[in-house]
Amino acid sequence: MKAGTKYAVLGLLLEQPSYGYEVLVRFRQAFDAGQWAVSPQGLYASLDRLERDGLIEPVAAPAGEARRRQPKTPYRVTAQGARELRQFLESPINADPSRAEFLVRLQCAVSKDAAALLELLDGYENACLEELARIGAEGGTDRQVIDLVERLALEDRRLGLQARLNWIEFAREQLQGVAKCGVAP
Amino acid sequence: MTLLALERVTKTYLRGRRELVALRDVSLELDAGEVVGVWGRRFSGRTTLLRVAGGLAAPDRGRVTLEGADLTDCPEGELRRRVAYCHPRFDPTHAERVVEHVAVPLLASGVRFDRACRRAHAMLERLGAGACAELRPHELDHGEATRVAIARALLPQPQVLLVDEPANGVGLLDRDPLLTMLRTIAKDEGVAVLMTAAETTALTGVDRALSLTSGELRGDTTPATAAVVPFPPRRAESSTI
Repeated sequence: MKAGTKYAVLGLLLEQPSYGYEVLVRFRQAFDAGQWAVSPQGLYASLDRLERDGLIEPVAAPAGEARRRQPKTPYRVTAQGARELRQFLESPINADPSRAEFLVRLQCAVSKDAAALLELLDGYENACLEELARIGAEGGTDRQVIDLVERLALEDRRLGLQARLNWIEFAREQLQGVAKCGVAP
Repeated sequence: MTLLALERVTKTYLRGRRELVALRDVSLELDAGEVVGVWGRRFSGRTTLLRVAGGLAAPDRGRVTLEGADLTDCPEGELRRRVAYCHPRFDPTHAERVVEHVAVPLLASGVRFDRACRRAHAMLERLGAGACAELRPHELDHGEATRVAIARALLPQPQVLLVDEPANGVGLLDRDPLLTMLRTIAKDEGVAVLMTAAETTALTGVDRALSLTSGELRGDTTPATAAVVPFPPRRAESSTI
């Protein structure tokens, strides 16, 4: 299970206990716009794994539900699960943050105010800028000859970071607008 | 020891009756031998950042120091020699051939013509622009003009080199070699390079990448907190790295 999916599911269940299919629907609502898809099998496997690790637990099904042939068991986050999610959200963003991880942070922070989101953006931007400097160091800029394929791959990474920085700039302006006048510009 | 430092610098311009903030509480430290790249869009304040760092524009608030001393206390001639601002403009009243343009800073400081031109030739060769020496500036393409301008800025052996968008207008295939060369010079000569870029792809080989939006500088603004520790410069007198 990818770290991003793990924390995304924890975040969704912390917001509201749900059964498997509900989690899938809510996952799609939350992350479809970010082009982050999860298959039903992948999601159910994540739920099993989280339960096995003691991070989520089934809640007693409502009375009517128990009589169904296939009772839907809602899950909720255990104290340990909540602790792990909190630790993840409070940890500094990795130098090379995966998009999925950042989307989780953003989603989990939605209930917070614009100031908190702006702080999150600053961290994300820092991580992207550090990554840019690292690409230079890794890319063998001290070598005179860089393999063509390597050069193309590096360019792809740089352009990817450019897109992220553009997005950060856009998001920051939106959030600053919210912070100033309460509505997005 | 920090070579160049901007301490909480704010710079505003007036456009008619409106006040535009070009730099907002900007702090930045630059060590000898490191290359710092600042990414920003047009009107983000990036050119102002270089102008203030080079003492060409005075900050409204905050201060700029070179080896701990305020830039405003540094005599104009000495400041120009120690902090070079690179601009790809060549005044036709100064000289005709490219090599003479490159030699202008040395001629201005009293070096003999033939000696200045010899050193200018060597510097042009080093920057991969040796073939341009006998041309006229208007015959240069953008990439060549940039190399020539950098050669001119480097000839008086400055401690700090400020370059506004070195990769702007340079062909994609020429871009990385140009930036690699800047990095090599920074490491070999112990020159601190502060450069700007309109695109992150033009930040190849920097030790630290920063972003400037609406006059606010973000990223690792001091070498100490940077993830990538710059290589020790080979020829820095006061290296603390």
